[in-house]
Amino acid sequence: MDEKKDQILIVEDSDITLYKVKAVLIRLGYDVTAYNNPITALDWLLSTPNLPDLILLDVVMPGMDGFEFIRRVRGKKETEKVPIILLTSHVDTRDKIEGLEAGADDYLGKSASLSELEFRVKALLARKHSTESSITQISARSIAIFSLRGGVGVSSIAVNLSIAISQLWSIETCLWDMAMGVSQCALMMNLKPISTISTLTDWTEKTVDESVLRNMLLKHKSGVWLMPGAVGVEESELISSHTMDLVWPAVQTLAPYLIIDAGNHFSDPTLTILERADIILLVLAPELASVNASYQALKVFNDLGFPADKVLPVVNRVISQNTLDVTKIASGLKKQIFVEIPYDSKAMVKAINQGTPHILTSPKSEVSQAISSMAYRLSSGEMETKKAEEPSPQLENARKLLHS
Amino acid sequence: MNALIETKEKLISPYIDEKVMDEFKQFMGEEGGDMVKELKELYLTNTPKLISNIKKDIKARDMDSLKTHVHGLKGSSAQLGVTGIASLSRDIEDVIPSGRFDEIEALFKHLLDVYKKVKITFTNQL
Repeated sequence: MDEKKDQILIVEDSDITLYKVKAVLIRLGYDVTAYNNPITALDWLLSTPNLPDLILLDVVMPGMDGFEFIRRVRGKKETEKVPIILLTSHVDTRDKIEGLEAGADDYLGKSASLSELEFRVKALLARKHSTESSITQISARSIAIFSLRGGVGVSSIAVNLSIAISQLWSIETCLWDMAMGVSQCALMMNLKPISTISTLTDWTEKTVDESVLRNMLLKHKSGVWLMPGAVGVEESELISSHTMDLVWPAVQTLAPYLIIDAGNHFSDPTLTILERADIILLVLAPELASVNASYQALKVFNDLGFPADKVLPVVNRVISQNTLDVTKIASGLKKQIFVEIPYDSKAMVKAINQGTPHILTSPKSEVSQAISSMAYRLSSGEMETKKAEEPSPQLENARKLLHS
Repeated sequence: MNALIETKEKLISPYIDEKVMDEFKQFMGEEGGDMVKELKELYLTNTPKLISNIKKDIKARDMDSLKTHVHGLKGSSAQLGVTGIASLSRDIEDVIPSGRFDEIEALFKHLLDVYKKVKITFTNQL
């Protein structure tokens, strides 16, 4: 998806600020064009065939201030939509109003931390790419990841997606590992399960409340709570669709987002959860057997009356040779592919061996970018339209950012 | 050991927030140390120019030019965590609209003293 690096233009008259911001953005994996003179920068911008994906712009500059710069950029059809973040040392609201009126998308204080810079840049770029994308934004609070074949990276996508959503909105997410028997997610996150929902079989008619589930949760440093899966076949067999019915209402209260590793085969408990989830990401490898299995899965979902737009195929390039291209896969499935995750098996295996998810070890890799962008598309619809319930400052921040 | 602590203490300036450059250094990984050095060198080269411009602006009572130069000094100082200079620059910015030049001159004099100390600290760290 994101084969080309995002290009960012910085316009800033202070050499020191320019040096620092440029270094940070290059480190984050962006292509950077930098000008210390707004007039030269504008000349370049209005004549370049390769428009930047984002502009970071100083306010107070000799020759032309940031507001005038924005007006000129917004005044031209070619450049009117390029997102702009104003770099400002002022806390003056008049400046902010003038900037907004001129058409800035966001503000960033020059004394802001580097992680804030990173967050705002990423959020605005994600927003830009999502409006470019033909697929509309989705609101999903519970996302199940499923496949009918093993080895296509279901657990890996579940773990990394949970972290990506958490990072994007600075919120907690809950990852529920309900793949039977192996507790793969815990392994990938280097966490040790204490108890699992298989112990709830005795609860039959009682209501399972949030506190019972909270005792099972394992906290990962990224902001993800893991509800570990059953360990071993015996434990797995204790879990029935009834257990799922008991657990489902409570599990949704654990975090704003629930990501479910639903494993790779149909069973009663799995179908119970797939039916309740808002979205199913159907993961497949770009090879014939996997496409065929996915086709079968889609047929089952259709027979069960799941809405067609609830199931989104995700092509995970876990193999590099003799692969099918996305157009072929889409026509085989008779369904548009939602996301394609590039091939990078070495890094993925390394991440698993280290017990640190890929998106944390290599946040700039193409795989991580594909997953972040998918996280945004799955959550932005909800996060952008949601009315305030108990908004955290980060959440408010993210909303403000996306509403401006 | 004591000598080392003493030297270290001398290097810590009340006008510099070390956390700012530490964060940058860490963020930049292997090259971080060299980049921090380059930034400090750049600061030591650029600041005297800005200071001399500010001096001229005050003498000529050129408000607009003074505003731009003080603003520039504030920004670059904040980037390196030189909080002493950044906050004095902001104080000057705040006084500019009132046109009280005696006050601006007093603040600027204080700023020059602080810069001398910052210069010593940075030079020792290079």
